[in-house]
Amino acid sequence: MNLLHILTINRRLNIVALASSLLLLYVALSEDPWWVVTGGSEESPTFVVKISPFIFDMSILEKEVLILIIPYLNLAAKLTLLLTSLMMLVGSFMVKKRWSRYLVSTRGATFPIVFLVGLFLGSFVASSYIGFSIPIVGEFTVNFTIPYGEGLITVITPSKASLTGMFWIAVAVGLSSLLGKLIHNRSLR
Amino acid sequence: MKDGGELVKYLSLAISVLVGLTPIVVAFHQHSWNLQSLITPIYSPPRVDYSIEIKEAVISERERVVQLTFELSNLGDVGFSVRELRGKAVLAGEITTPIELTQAIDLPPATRGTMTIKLPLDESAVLKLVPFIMTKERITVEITSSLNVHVLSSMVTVPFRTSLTIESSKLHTTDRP
Repeated sequence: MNLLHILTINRRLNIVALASSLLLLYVALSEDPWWVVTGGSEESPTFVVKISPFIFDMSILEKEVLILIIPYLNLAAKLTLLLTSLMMLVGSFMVKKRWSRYLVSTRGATFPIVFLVGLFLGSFVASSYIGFSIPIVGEFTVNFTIPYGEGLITVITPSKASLTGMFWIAVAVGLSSLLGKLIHNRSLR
Repeated sequence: MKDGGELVKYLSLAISVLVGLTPIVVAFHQHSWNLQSLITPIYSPPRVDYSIEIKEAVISERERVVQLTFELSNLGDVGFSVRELRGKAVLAGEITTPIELTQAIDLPPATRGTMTIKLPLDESAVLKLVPFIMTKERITVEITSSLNVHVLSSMVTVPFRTSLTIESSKLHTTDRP
């Protein structure tokens, strides 16, 4: 009995795709951010940005920043991933059916990639507006001045950007869905 | 369509597109297809404001210091704390002294606190200042400085310039009755 037969229980169940579908469900329903930027200390931050494909939380001086389209985009991403998870779940039980290859997809893997590309692009676009660049990961200082009377008000905020554990879980889930797809295609031959 | 493969392929594609696009279409529909309003960030910054008022001026010849006490009010929505004061003061138009904040002040929103500034004087400054107090009704104090203020966890440097006229009768001395 080779590894492929073990991983599909003799072409009855794609175990990796099943696990991947359940993990996709967890990732889609999680409220944890994938990327966090904190300006100042974590106890009393000057600004906080918490983003994932499913959530967007941004506040500056303890006041929330709203962009009306974002909740709808988050909902679209969440529904898409939930659907992907459901289709994978069904597909993982239908290893013998050739049409199940359309259900077991690699869409789970595209989420972290698209998210990372979006962060790079977003950070690039934002830097042209705000006048300083925000790294994807690392520490940086937000430094700007505001004219005030004859002088200047200078604001210095040590800041930090990081990809969270949930992002890396999403990457791992994406890789598992790639592996699940590979196993599925092989078992259909 | 031997095993329904094509049907599953196109059905799953159609559902995916529908699920992905429906919320976006709903967003546009609910906001009258106005892209500008959908993508423009909405933000109402909190008010950051303060007022400062002289409360007391005291001179100590023995300690060679003029101590100015201000009442500082936080009129904004965000708390701040004054950590440091850098600059100089000119007394009576000719005595220049450094200035220092006696202690940091934390001011949550809608509170007031006392800010005390010390103006240390050297011996020659004391010798110049005492006759002023004795002979003039008023003495001017010009402060040119910058305040280091912590707003949440940002360090903000704010120019602080003020010009005071203190009546000599109100300039208490701590060393003499």
